[in-house]
Amino acid sequence: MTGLKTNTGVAMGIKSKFIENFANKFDTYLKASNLPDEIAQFKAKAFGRVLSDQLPTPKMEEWKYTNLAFLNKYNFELAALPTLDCKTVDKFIFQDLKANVLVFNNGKFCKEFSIIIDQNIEIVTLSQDVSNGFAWNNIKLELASDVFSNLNSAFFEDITFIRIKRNSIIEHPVHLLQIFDGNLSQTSIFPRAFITVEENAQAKFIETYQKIGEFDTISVASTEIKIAQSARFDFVRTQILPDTHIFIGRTNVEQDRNSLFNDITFTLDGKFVRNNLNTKLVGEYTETHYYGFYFADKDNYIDNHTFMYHALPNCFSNEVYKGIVGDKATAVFNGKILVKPDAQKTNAYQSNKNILLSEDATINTKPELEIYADDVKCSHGATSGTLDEEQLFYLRARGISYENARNLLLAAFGEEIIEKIEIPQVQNMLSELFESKLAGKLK
Amino acid sequence: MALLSIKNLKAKINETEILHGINLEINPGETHAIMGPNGSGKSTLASVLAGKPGYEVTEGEVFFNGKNLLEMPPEVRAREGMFLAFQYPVEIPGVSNTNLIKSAVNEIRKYRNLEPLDAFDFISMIKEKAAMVEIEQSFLNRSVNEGFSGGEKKRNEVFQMAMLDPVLAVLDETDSGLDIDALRIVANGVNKLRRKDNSFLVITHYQRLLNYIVPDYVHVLYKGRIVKSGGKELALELEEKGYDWIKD
Repeated sequence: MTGLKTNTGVAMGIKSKFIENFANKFDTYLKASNLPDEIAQFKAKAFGRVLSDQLPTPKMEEWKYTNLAFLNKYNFELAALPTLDCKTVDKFIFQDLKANVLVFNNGKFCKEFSIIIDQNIEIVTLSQDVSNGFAWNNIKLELASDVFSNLNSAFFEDITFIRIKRNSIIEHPVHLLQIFDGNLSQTSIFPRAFITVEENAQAKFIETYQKIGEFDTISVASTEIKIAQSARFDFVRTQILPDTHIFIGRTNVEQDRNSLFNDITFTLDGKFVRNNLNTKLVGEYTETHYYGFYFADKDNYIDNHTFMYHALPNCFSNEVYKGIVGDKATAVFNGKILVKPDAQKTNAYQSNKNILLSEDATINTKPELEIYADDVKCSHGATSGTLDEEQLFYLRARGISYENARNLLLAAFGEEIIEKIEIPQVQNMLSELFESKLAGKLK
Repeated sequence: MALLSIKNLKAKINETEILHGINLEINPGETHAIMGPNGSGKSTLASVLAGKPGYEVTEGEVFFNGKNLLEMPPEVRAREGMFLAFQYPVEIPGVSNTNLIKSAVNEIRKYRNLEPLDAFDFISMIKEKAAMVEIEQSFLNRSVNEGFSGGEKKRNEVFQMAMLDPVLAVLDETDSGLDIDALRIVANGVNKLRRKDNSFLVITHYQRLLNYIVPDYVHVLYKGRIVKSGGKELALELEEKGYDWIKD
């Protein structure tokens, strides 16, 4: 298992059963996929990179807190025929929220279950219409520097292109409902989407995840978002994942002049969740907000890697991530800010606050600021600690039990992030889920 | 039977004994004042009675309503009818005053086998008690003590006291840092709560508060012991002669 060099002399990662399993499937998959040559060739290249890179190890800076060896015990199949029906989908839709609902089954867009109520949203998939999707804002398929993005490229079954048309305001939220289907076998899922918010358009997206079926599933997602000049995009991701799902997702955002991007990543549960959120500013006078909240307990592993790339002057970014870590769980926050020499008058702020509920809980928090411009305002702060004893005593001295006092304080800690969500129904849902988790957990 | 009975109470914090044997009995309907110079153990006594973590009782006993107070966690003491008005009320960002008081009222009611207050009764009760300490409604939606002035914090303590209707309220230097108008508001609030069946323990450094909340008994605490007890006139004597008089 330790062939560090191939006979051609190319450096390789440590061979893993996880990758080997996909290697055994790749040729058959590609032959059967019937894709246009250009895309088939891209996939072959992407998988070539996967084979040479192999699984990351903790020796790599990007993965220094993570042991991925557990992936080797699975034997994932590629997603087979969907078992989805209307009843199942209905259960996962917000009943009190009028929204555009885009249903994805194992990463593949399901038109038959989706409901589009607003005009000015256009959706095509690779399987339907190759040329149009790529034409929107010059979208290209490119190899990535990380193995999971390349694995996604090698195995995505389809690509969903979502376009918010120029000058339009999408009145109702757009709900991306990702259903992970483990009814038939251990299943690997490779969702791939491009979202384009055209010039001066506005839209609010919320993404939720649902697992069905008994078998373990893994999703390796890749989402690319382009926010054009003067556009506004709000993205709320609510990650409440059962122990039987492994989540690895990368979101790459590009923001043009005068645009606004708000991201809220809310992770309430997850055996293994790794989020990469990267924003590159390609125009001046942009505004970016990253809000995050995670609550890891049991033996959860929740990892947020964020990156703000200030390439141009006069841009503003603010990042606030907060987390609660209990039991034997581990959480990771790695926030990188890069300010290029040209990016004068940048304002970039970052904060990460953590509350540890047990001695066995672990938080790894790492701000990474690289600033090469001199006329900037940047700050960062990270804290981790236990609940405030004075506050706890004050509440108990009023007759409130220790558990309820603790829950009040933890709820207040999380609400700061939840209240940033501008869709009241989603805000309420998350408040309720969070508080019921607190009540159940800390009973 | 005394409402509160403290016998030979000794307590320490961080291995330093602060209270060296306190004896005190408070009957229903009585208001007692404890005066003393800085460092005499006044706030330690209040903290020990409320059950603040970090204080260790090394000797003695405290009975409250005939029950062993020292065996109860802080929340049970509150549910049994003890209230501490904090000298330095803590700020709790994100928890509104209303939320705190609602949780407190209902947990105390539950302990006494009462139904939770319905929304209407709760709101009318809040309105009545807030008016008593001249608190505006908007104040109640703000986070507990966050950004409050010193006077607002102390009024909030008395408001909470009014809402929880304790049988024994311990006021820990509630007058400190208050201007005369705020002092009057706070004292009036307390006086309106005085009845034949409840008691007050007013801890203060200065006599001025006792012009407004007139005690039945005054005790002087010095170096962890009650060194002198008397009627309300003792407070005036202390004001006149200073604490040096006690030290001799």
